[in-house]
Amino acid sequence: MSDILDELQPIFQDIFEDDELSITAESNADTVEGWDSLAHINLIFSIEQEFEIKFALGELEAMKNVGDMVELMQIKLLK
Amino acid sequence: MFQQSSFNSFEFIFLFLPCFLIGFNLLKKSSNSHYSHYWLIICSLFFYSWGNLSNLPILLSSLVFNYIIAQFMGPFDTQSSLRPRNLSRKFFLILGIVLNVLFLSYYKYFSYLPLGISFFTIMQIMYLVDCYEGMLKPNTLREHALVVSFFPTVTMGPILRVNNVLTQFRETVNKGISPEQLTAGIALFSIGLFKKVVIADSFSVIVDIGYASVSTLSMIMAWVISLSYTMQLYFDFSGYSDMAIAIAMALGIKIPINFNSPYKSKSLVEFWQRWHISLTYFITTYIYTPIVRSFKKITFSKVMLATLIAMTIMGVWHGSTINFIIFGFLHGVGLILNHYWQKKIKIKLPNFLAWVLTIIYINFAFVFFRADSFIDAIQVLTSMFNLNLLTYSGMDQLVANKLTVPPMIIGILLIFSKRNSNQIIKEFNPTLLNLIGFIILTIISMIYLNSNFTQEYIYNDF
Repeated sequence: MSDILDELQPIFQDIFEDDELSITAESNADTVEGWDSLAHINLIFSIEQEFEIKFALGELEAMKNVGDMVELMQIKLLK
Repeated sequence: MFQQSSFNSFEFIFLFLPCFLIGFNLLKKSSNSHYSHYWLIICSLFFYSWGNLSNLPILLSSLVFNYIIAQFMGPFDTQSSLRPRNLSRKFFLILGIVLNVLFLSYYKYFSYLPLGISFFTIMQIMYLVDCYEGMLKPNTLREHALVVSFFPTVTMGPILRVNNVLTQFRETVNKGISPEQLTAGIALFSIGLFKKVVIADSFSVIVDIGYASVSTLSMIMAWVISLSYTMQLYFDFSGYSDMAIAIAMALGIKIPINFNSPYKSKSLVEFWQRWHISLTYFITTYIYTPIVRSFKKITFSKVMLATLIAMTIMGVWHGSTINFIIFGFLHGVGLILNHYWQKKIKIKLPNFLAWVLTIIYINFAFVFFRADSFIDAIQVLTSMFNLNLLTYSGMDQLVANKLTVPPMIIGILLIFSKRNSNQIIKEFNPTLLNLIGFIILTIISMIYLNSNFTQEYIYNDF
């Protein structure tokens, strides 16, 4: 869990243009400034490219916070 | 008397629903628990064909077609990355989507409109995509029929996600109807019924008069009828959605809410998160996202273009006339302005001003939604700003039918009330006071249901 979270940090810092940004599993659209629908889609696609995985459309809604994302990524990376 | 498959009729409430529920509950206790599912399918098909039997073959062929396509596609297999296998799955996905869209377009734009076709078609497109992407296994015919024909949602949604509902059906197959859920369901149903037959249908009286004579509207009446339609549409469709969710709730099936106080929104982006939520979900996830994904590099302007395309498709989904295209396009443009303001201008408007601007914009767009033609819509919109028409003429029509006045006032108050129907039901307690309240609500609904201005649902036409 923590490994993936560490690897996610630079992606988040890049998308939200904030080098100081530090995310946790609980981080979500309410706690991170600028996390709107546009940032969300940017985030998803950046993660897909970086980790060479692909999320199903039906999975996108379930990712409400960073923890959900990491959990889903773990499953995908195992395959 | 019963001309349409709808919830707001005496036959549905006092005959169909009780018979269905009793049978459903009895069969749940039988040796083969799937009997209750067969009973539900039979009742759903009966409900669907009640108003017009000729719709039935259309629902059935769509249902069987999508069942077969999913079977041909087969389950998602992570182990096998064999190219021919993946290619054939993709072939069936594309074939399925194309034929669904052609099927819907033919009936929507070139023929008469079978009930619910817009809703069950996009629901099954989502099903095929989810199947392709491995979110679920292909359904058995029984399960597919169960979800697609499900009578609470078959005519006007909420647009269900097949795997979500099916999981619940599987989990509750041996459980009887719980008294708590049944009570909460009845309470929510009575709220929905009141919103539809008392409030929405009261607004419809002045709306119908106004839109039938758009060339003679005074400035004030133009505002009155356009805002009244905005109110009517919300109470009509959210009242229906409440009833659909309520019936499912009584069966132990949780359906996601479709409306969440949309007219409290302080931006257009917020509005679409609160209005017809199941359609917004389909548009953002299955149309907007694939468009954005198809761009190699994501930029602000490309995302905005995707928004405009997706919202225009949303408009076209409602109907083929120029007015629906404009309706979707206006919302696309509005969302772009909204995002541009948030990203580039970054000035926070006072809440009240933001709310007023949002409501006015929504109201403009709904003029195109309601008007019988493009010319009519322009006529209403110009009357709204023509100071020469600043007279009170036509205002007497507002109170012509006394029975419609109190519900219109209640409707306006409800828009601002602290809790909406979903929130009320979440904290619902079956106390004596609540019982009395809901009985009074139902009696009033019955009186209005018996009156001469009961209307069909607006979304029956989509």
